Formats: sequence, C-alpha cells, structure tokens
Amino acid sequence: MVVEQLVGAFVNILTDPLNLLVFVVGLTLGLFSGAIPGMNGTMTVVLMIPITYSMDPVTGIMMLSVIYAAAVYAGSISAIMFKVPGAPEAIMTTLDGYPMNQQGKLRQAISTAVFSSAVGGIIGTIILILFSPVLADFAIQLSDPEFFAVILLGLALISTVGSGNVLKATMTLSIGLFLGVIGFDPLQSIPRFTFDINFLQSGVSLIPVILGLFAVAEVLKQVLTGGEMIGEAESEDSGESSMFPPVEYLKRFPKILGVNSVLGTLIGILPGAGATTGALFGYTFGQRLVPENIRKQFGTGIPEGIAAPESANNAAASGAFVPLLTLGIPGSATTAVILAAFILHGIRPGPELITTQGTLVYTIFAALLMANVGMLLSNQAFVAVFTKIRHLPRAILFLLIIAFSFIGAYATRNIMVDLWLMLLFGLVGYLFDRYNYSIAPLIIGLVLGPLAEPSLRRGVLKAGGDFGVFLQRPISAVLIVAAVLVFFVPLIQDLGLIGKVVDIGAESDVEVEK
Amino acid sequence: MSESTESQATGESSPGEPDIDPEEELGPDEVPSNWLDATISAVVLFGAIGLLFHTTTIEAITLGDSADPGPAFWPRLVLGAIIATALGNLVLVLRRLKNEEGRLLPNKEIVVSGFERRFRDLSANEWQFYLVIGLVIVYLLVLDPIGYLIATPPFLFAFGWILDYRKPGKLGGTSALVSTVIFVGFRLYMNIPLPYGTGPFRAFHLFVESLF
Repeated sequence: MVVEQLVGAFVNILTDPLNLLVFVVGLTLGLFSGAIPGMNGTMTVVLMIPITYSMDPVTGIMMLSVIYAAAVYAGSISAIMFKVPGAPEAIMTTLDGYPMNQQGKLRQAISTAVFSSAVGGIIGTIILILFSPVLADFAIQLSDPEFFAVILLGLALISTVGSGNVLKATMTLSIGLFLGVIGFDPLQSIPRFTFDINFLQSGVSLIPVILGLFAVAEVLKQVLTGGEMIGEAESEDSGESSMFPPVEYLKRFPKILGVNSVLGTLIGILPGAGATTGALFGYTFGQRLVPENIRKQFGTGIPEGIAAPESANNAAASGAFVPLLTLGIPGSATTAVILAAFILHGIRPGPELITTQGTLVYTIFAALLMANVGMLLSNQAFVAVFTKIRHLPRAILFLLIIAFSFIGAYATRNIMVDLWLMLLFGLVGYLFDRYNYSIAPLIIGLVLGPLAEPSLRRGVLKAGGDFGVFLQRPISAVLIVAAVLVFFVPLIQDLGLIGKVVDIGAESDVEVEK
Repeated sequence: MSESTESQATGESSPGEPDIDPEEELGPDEVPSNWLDATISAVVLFGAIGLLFHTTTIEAITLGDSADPGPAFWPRLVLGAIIATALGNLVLVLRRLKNEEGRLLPNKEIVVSGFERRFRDLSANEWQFYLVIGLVIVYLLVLDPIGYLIATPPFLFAFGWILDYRKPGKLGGTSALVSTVIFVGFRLYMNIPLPYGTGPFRAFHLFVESLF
C-alpha cells in the first residue's frame, strides 16, 4: 500500500512536466536561498506561498517542501567556503568545514556535506514514511518536562564540544543562554534586561550574532594576519565537488550517519526544535560516537565534524514534517510557514490527512526523497558557481563577504541595531578566537536557551511548583540522568583531579599561543 | 623580539619584584595573554554580578497562587552559571600567573609599554585592521541617514582600497554592481525594506526604485 502510493507519487512528479519543472525550480531556489547569507529556506518559502495560489495544492506544497529540504543542505556551502553560514542550520558545519577548506580539502568537505545531508534526509524521510503515526503518538505524549530534559541533554553535551577547556566552554555557553533571555519573557511578556531600550525588547537575533562571530570575525582575523580564506593546498584541489566523499572517509563515519540520521529525525519531531537544533545535537552527539583520538580533533577540520551535523540537520528537516502532517503542529519555523500554505489551500493537517489527502502526503514524501537525490546530482554544477567567487582577488572576496553579511544581518528584522550587533559580535568572535574561548557553545546557548526556559517554567507551573516533576516522569528522568552523566563523566575522565585542571588549562592556552 | 632601550629608561622594577624588561616580556599580543585572559574573565564576572543585581528589578505578574518560578528565575540560574565559571577561570588564570610570572598583577610599565608600542609600531596589516573597523563604524553611522544606495558603493570601494586592491575601475565597478544586485534582489524581489535615508536621499532611492 505504502509502496504503491509512493511509486504513484514518483510517477506523478516525473511524468507531469509541470510537476517536474516546479520540482527543479524548487530545488534550485532552495539551494541558492540556503547558500546565500541573508536568504534562508523559511524566507523563500514565505515568498513562494503567493505563487502557489495559482497551482494545484499538491504541486504547490511539494515545491515548498523541496525548497526547505534543499536550503537546509545548501547553507553548508558558504559555511565551508567562506566561514559564512548561509543559514542557521549550517552553524556547526562551519566548525570543521572551513578548517578543511583552509587545509586544501574543499572538494572532500563539500562532498562529505552533500553526501551526509542526502543520507540524513533520505533516512529521515523513510522514517517519516514508515513511522509517522507511531512517532506522532510518541510526540503527543511528550510534555514540557521531557522537552526540557532533551534540551538539557543538548546543553550537557557541551562538555564534549569544549573538551580541553570545559570551564571556558561552559562560560561561553552561559553567555549564549543569557543573550537568549534578553527581551520579553516567554510566559508573562515582561521585559528583561532591556533597560528601557526599544530594540532590546525583541531580543538578540541569532542571524547577526552568527554572522558576526563567524564571518566578520574571520574577515578581521584574515585582515590582521594577511591571510587567505583559500587553503595553501588549493593548487592540488580543483575545487570541484563530487557526489561522494573519498572512500577512506566513508569508512570513517557510517556510524555517525546512521545514528545521527535517526537522532536528527527524533529532534525534528519536537515542536519548535527544527534543523538548527538537530545540527547542534548532531555535532555534539557525533563526538560521542567516535574514538577519543578523533573526538579531540573535532573543530580542527575533520570529515566527521561535517558528517555529524549535516546528517542530523537534514534528518531533522524531514522529522519536522511528522508533527506537521499528523498533528497539524509545526516542528520548525519553516514547517510553520508550510502549515500556513496548507491552510491557505483549504487543507487542515491532522491524523486523517494520510487517508483523506493520500496523493498530497505521498507526493511530499516522494519529493523529499527526490530532493535529497537531486542535491547529490546537482551539487557539482551548483558548487562550481561558488568556486568561481572563491578565486576572486582577496580584497574583492572579503568585500563580497562583508556586503552579504551586512544584508544578511539586516534582512531578518530590518533594523540598524542588528548591524551594530553583528559588528560587536565580530569583535567578540575575534577576541574569543584569539584567547581560546570556543564560539560554538555560545551559539548552542543562544539557540537552545529560548527553547529551554519556557518548557522548564511550564513544566513547573503545571506541576504546581514541584520541581520534582522532571524526575518523576520516566522519560525526562532518564534524559536528565543522561545529561548529568554526559556532562560530568567526560569531565572526570578528562580532568581527573582538580589540580590537573590547572595543567590542562595551561597546556591548552600554550597551544593557542603557539 | 626586538631589544629596546626605552625599557631601560623606564623599566625599573619595584622593590621585591623580579627585574623584568617590559619589552622582553611582551608576547605577540603586546600585553601578555594570561593577563588579557584574566581581564576577559573579570569583565564577564563583574558584568554578570551587576546583571544579577538587576534581576531584582524584574517584576513578575502574580496570578492567584501561580506556581510559575517567574521571569527572573531562569536568568538568575544562567547568571549564576556565568559567575561560577568566570570565577573558576579567573582563579585558574591567576594561579597560572602566580606560577609562571611570579605575581598576580602585571607590571604597570609592561602594560603601558605594550599599549604604547601597539599604537606606535603598527604593521601594515594592523593599520588595515583598525581602518576596516573604523570604516565599518562610519558606514553604520551614515547608512540610515543617507540610505543604502548612496552609502554602500563608497563603503565597498574604500574597503577594497584599504585592503590594497588598487584597480579603481574594477573596484568601483564591483562596488556599484554588488550594491545594485543586492538592492534589486533584496528590495525589489524579496521586498526587504533597505534604509532609504531621509529628505533628498529618500527621494533618490524612490526614483531608483521606480526605474526597476
């Protein structure tokens, strides 16, 4: 039954010229919107909704789904090439992708990203096809305590990201969490840390922060050091991409691809989590799946550091369709917009959708599978465009990065303050990099903090003020215990006695100074 | 590291302190990184303490016997974590300083000499670094009053020029092209309202918009 309907959906897309054209347009738009800073999948889906009015609902919603899937991958291209995450989903890919590029391994980095994205997206979609009703039942049982426990687990994984200097990593994580509380509080809408300044009431936007910490900080660093963004081994690397990573790479991360694809899908079904959260979990969880010698190389430019977030974020993008299609609850910002498209076309998602709108649902499934294959096939041509930009003179390249970073920071909220914020975080990012403060935890805190607080407070509120509720519910209790273990066990393993902390801290800083 | 006669003129140590040549002690950061690291932690620590006090001004709405921990609860948890970790890092750095440098506070002359030298002997790259930051600040200051299309091409041109790209024709063309492409793409196709400036600048932007 499932196979028949799926085959029918493939035939519907491939044999109908209009559907095929719309699919290709959606894929292209998704790839470009993900790769260009300032644009993202959500924005493009919003812009395309009016165009879908004139289309059949199946065709229109298929196009929006394809844009979403493609944009999640494409953010990694500019992240790897220019250290500019094209979309928030690509933040973690920057950490290893850009260093690999600088080592002259651009081709390997891009092919690892696209392959991992495709695997994650395909596995996520297969899970979506086979287990949507089961996952929806599971998701509906999760309440605030479980949701908070999941986020806490994500925060606890920081001990892995910051290995070598956990104290500094926890400090930057906490700073990220604090940035997330600026503005109106999520339950009572009371302004916090706004100091009667209007623009602070809407909080600190993620996009200017990540563009500042990554793109502006990197440009400043390269200006100061007289460096280049292109690796020295570039002459050996044509810069062209291929569908598959080198065979020796594939042997290194099958476990990461498998586990993170499932993990990403599960993160995706959590309402509000989305692909960015999937990438954060994927990167930190990926470090737990590899031997210690590899784990310590995360952040220095290794393929595992690309495969982990890329497989998880694309799987999460597929997972976000589970609550959307089966419960009518969006799993991410983009699926919230797609939900609006459903409603505008007179379709209300819910448990009956698969039965009443089988053609639509299976066309979305087929389109998501095809989009992931399409990314693999079109990647080489698409990356070639960006490769040409890369070989521009250094000053022109930096000029382009700055111009697009500025428009990217401004485009989200259309306020000048975001540009100042980007400059400020550019300087902060530069200083953090110079004095061995890891940037990734700050981003993790800023993304997960606004998700953690409301679920914590709602959980306590519903339990009548009893904080014990988090340990009384089995799933949240297990997750919280796991979070505690995940945070403290590596600390104990890595640091041992407290006195050793001093030595390790000193060693890590000496390495940085070198 | 260059030898200096200046340190000999100014660098007499206080009684009880090791005899240190300020210029000799300076690393690539001009001021030793341990102290700058400690400064970052101290700034974060005191900032977090100040913000923690500020949470007493956050007033919660109390509805009946609501069990909501309140809007100040989470920020206090977070600020507590910042204070604990910043303090921890500060202690570690100070212990390291005591072990490596033999004292907790830097020699005043080292700091003064370091900063003097930083601004006296700027390399070409350092000049570019500070000029780029200054240029961005100027751009942000004028962007809103004069608008995107008037501020951006000169900004991009100056940016490239500072980075030693000395082909005025190409640089000017690229700056104008990039600005126009962004304007057309983002303003006209994506309907993102870019800064248009005020008065005649706004009129100019509206005129350009009408051309498309």
